[in-house]
Amino acid sequence: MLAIVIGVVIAGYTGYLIYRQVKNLKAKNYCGHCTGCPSAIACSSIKKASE
Amino acid sequence: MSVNTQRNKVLHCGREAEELNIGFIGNPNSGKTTLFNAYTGARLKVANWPGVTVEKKEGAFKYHNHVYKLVDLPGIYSLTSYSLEEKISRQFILSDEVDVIVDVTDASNLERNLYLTLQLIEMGKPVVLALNMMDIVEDRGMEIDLHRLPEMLGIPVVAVSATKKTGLDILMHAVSHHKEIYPNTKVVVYNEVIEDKIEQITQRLKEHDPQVTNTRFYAIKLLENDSEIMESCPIDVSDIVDQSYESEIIKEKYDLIEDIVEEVLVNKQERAQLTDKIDSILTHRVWGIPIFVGIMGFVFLLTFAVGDSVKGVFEGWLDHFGRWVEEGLLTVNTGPVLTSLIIDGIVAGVGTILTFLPNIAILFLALAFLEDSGYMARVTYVMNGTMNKIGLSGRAFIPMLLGFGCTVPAVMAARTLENQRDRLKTILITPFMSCSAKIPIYVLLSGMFFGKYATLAAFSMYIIGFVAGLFTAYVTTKIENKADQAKAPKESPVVNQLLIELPEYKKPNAYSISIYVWENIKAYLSKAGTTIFLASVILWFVLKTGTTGYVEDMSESFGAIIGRFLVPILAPAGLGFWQMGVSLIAGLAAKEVVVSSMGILFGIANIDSAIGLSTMQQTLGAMGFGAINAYSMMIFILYYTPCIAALAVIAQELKSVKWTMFVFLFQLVFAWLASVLFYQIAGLFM
Repeated sequence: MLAIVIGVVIAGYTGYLIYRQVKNLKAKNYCGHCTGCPSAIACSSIKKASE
Repeated sequence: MSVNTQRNKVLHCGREAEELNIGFIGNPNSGKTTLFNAYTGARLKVANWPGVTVEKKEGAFKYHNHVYKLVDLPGIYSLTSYSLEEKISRQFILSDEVDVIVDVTDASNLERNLYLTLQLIEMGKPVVLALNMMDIVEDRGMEIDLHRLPEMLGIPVVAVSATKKTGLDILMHAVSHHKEIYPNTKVVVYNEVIEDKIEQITQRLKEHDPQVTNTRFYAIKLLENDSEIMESCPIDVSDIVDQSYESEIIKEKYDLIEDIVEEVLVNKQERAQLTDKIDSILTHRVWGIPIFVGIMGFVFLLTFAVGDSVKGVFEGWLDHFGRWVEEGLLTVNTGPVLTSLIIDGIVAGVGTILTFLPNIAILFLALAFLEDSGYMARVTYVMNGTMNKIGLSGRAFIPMLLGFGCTVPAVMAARTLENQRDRLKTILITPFMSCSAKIPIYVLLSGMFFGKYATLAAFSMYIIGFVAGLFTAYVTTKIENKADQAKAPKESPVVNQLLIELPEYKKPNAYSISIYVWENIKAYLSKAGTTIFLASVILWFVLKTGTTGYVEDMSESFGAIIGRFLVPILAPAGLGFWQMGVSLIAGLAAKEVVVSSMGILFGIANIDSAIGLSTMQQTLGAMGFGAINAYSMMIFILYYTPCIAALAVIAQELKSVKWTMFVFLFQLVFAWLASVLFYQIAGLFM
């Protein structure tokens, strides 16, 4: 039973990461890991300004 | 065109509290973000070089039952609308969103800072002047007359120290008491001609809209031929504004600033400044570059040598964690496939990356120290001559410098370059600067094959990457110049001159450094838990599944099939092993994945430990992969196509599929040629 739970958790998290990566790409956040990125503010502001 | 006098009311803690919007504005590097952090407890990035804050950032705090909303704006020198930062800041302070402006000035550079102050006063909104860095003024044996300065400007002046957190309460006290006191906008009295024109425009603006209160500011801007204001101006003033009066207006402002400084700055005698003394050595015409190379060499020595010595603790923890996970999986009987996914895929892939955390932390600690001390801004100045020789502006060195951290913001920073050619050349060479993601690869391969010369081997990557960048820029400039000469033989090539502010040297601030390092550690951990995790799972699938389904032997996997396809291409570079082909493809996701893929490929969870290194060295040795192959691989990884995120940003910046493909292929071919050249020549001697 626990093995199934572990498998589901890994599959779920992997699926979430793929979903987030695709979402980020669509939003032109190419790195896909803005959280914690020290350049995130400068990066997003340059994007906003260009828009 | 209106000034907001409405106070916003919000409910706070069960009763009505006043909300006041305060805009922090000032010259670049005047300490706005440090002051903002001191009030809000935020941990925004601060650095001792201009241009760190590119967009406005908001925070709030409670002061005597009032909610004060603070907005940190990008550093600007004036309220013109030439640069992106100036546009952002001006639009914001002209809007109704700000009630009181706090003009943060560097007291040690009063002449330069007061220009913006005068423009802010002319805008007509309540302004409080925060005199920051008073300690530097005192250190120079000077004093500022804090009674005469507010008298001359007509606004309150408060001395503060953002780093020492002194004067903060008095500043907010002044803000709360002056929130509805509007300054006399006629602080600068211009010559008769200009004053007459201001009067005429002001009258016309008032006739058009009697609600507009800051007509003098708009009149001055119209006389300066400010394009944005002219476009938004609802009335025709072409009969009054017969030419641009910008230079006269600027001159008269500086005349007043000269008078103010003369009167308020006491003991303004010339003293040999510490900054000048240090600069005479660090920015020396001859020694500047060797000193820079030496400093960077020391930084990487710390990164590789010291980092290696402290990471034993990490390896121990990860080793325990790996064993604990393995035992746990056995207890719950997860089965061979799931166990392999977790141990050989996730733990091997993500765990491998985590062992390099001490190296990364030390690199960013050293870079933060250099930045905060004021040295990094000087490097651009030192390199200006060299950059000019290769046909680039010294400003192009900023993206290259950022490239040592991450290629993504570095490519974006190329946007600040004025012409398209410079941008393209800088984007082309920036990926040659070794980003921090390549550190694990250098540490692993050099540690495995170069023994006591490991640090030297790793540092050499930074040197040859940098040299390749300069060489590429030089060659492309030569080609461009030839083409230009063919088109217009008499015109000489134009090189944009560098204009950069060199901040005072100062003792690095522990708080700023800790924020910088922590943010980078967080980014690394975040990447390990997301991008690397995903890449490890995908790699495990590619390496554990084949035409027959799940395979125990990776040489039968889909990954091996793809890798073998690359063997003939990579063989001349000494990389003719399917495992290396798989690693290099995986590295396109993120460079760290090259190392994590090795962990998965060779089934070593703690690859960077002494046992891991020796196991892998033996395995590779048995395959015929030695020191020359390892160095060739380091060269290939240094030069080859940047990660997908960097490529996407390059495409976005170049706005051309053709040029993006060119960059992609150029890096790939350059990497292949360089590693083949090295491997073949080195093979003759070893």
